[in-house]
Amino acid sequence: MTSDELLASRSLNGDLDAFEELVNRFKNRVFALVYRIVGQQQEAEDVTQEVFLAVYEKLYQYDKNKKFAPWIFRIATNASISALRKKKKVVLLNFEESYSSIYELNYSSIATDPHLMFERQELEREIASAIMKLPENYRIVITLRYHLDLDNQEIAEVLGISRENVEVRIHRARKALRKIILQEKEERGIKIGLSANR
Amino acid sequence: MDCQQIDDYIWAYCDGTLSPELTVELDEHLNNCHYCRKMVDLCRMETEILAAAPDIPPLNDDFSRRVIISLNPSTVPSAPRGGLFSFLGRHRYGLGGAVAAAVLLLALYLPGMMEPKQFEDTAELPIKSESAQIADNQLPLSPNGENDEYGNKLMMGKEVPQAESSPDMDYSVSGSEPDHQGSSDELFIAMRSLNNDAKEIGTQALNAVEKSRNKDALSRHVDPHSPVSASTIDDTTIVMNEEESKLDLLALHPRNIPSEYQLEKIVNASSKAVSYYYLNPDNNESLEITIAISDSMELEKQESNLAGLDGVVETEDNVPHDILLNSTKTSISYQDHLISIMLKAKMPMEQLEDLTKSISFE
Repeated sequence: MTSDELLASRSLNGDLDAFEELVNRFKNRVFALVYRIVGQQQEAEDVTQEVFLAVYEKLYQYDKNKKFAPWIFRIATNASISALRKKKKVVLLNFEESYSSIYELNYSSIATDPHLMFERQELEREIASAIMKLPENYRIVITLRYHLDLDNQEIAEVLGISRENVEVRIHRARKALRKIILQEKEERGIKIGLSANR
Repeated sequence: MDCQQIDDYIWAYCDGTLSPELTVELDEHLNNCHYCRKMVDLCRMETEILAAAPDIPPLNDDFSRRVIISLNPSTVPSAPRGGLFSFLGRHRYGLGGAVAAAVLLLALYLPGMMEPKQFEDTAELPIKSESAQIADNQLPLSPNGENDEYGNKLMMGKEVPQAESSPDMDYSVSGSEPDHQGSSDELFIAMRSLNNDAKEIGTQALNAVEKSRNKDALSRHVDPHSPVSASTIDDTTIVMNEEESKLDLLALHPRNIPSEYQLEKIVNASSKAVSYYYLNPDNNESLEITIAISDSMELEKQESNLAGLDGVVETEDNVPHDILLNSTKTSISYQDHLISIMLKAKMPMEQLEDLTKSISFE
C-alpha cells in the first residue's frame, strides 16, 4: 500500500487522486478528533472539511521526512480549537494547574463496593457524557492515544510537547475522566462500588 | 506497593507502558488484592471504549467527494514547478487578471484575424448556444474581485438574487464603442473564471485566441440592456465556441439529502448532465437526482426566471412514484444557465415534494 507520505508528495504535485486517497484514509480519524473537540456533528463535519482544504493548501509546508499523520492531526487540532474559540471563549487549562485544582481526587470519599460491576453499555454512555466535560486538552490527548492509537512520540509532535509529558498528561486525563464518571454516578444516587479516587 | 500507589500506575499498566520493574510489583499486588483487580478490569474496559469511541457519529459517505469538489487545484502553493500554469496558480487573483487582460488585448489587436458572426437578434444567444462559461469549484469572485462565499449557493424553493449588471465588469468590446470601431469582434473575458483552475483558464483563453486566428471563433454580440445578456456580461465568460461550451455541473452538488440515503455513485455522462444515485440501505430504496443544463428552455421563460428560481414542484400524475422537475417552474438559474433538476424516487409524492424543496445545491 502506498504510504501516506508518498501520497502527500504526489498530492503536492497536483495528483488529485492521491489527495482523495489521503482524504479517504484520514477522514474518519480527523473527524473523530474534531468531533471530540467541538462536540457537534455538523460543526465537526464542516471543520473537518476545512481541515482537508487547509491540508491541501499547506502541503508544501509538510516535511516529507516526517510522518504525515501527526502533521494532519496537528492541523486538525488547531483548526478545531480555533473553531471552538470562535464559538465561545475558551480557556485552555494548563494541565498541571487544572489537574491539581479541579480534578484532584478526594481519597476521603472512598466508598467501596467490590461487588458492583459496571455494565459495558452503561459505561459507554457514561464515558460519552463525561469525556465532553473534560477540558479540550484532555479530550485531545485521550483521543490521540486511544482512538487514533498514536504513540507518545506522535502525540508529542501533534501537541508540541515532550514525550515524557505525554504520558503524564494521559495519566491525568484518564484520572479526570474517571473522576467525572464517578461524580455523575453519585449525583444520580448510584452507590459507587469502586473507588471514587481512582 | 499498596492500593494508593497502584492508583499512580494503573493507567500506564493497562496501556502496557509501565516499566517492567513496576509491572512486576503491581502484578504481585494484584494477586492479593481483589479490589485493585476490579479497578484494572474497569480501566481496561474504559480503554476499550475509548478506543472504539462508539459515541462518535459516522461521517457522511460523500464527504470525500465533497472535499475534492471543493478543491481548487490552483490554490496549491506547491513547490515551484515552473510554467505558466503554476505561475497563474500562485497569483491567480492579481497576475491572473493581468494575463487575462493580456490575452484580451492580444485577441483584440490582431488585425484582420477575426471574422465575427453577428447574431441578428441578441435574444438568440441563449437559444442558439449555451453560453461558454466555467463553473467555479470554489468560491466565486464577486464583481469587485473578492470572493463571495455565499454567492454560489442555490436553494430549491428559495429565490436567489441575480447579479446586477455591473458596468465596471463589462469587458465586452462592442463595435459601437469608439475605441474599437475597427473591430466588431465581441470577446468577453470573465474575471470570475480567474479563480478556476489556472491551467484551464490558460488553455481556454489561448484556445480562444487560436480560434480567432483561425477565423473560426464564434463571436457574439450581447445587448447589455437585455436582461439575459446583462447578467451574462456581469459575471460570465464568452471566450469559446459552442463545442467548448461547458458548465461544471459537479459544482452544483446536492446538499441536505436525508441522512438515511447514502451516495452510491455519481455519473457524469456528459457535460450537460450529472446524476447522483443514493440508496437507503434500510429499505433498499433508491433516490436519483439528475442535474442537467436545460436546452429546450424558451427565451420568454428564461427571462421570466431571471429574477431567481421559483422551485415550485410540478408533478406528473401518470408517473405515480416519480417526480419530474424539468419544467420551467422547477428549474434553477445558475451562472446564467437554466438548470433542470429531476428527482426520481419510489416514495409518496408528498414526501418527494418535501424532499425536493429541502434540497439545496452549492
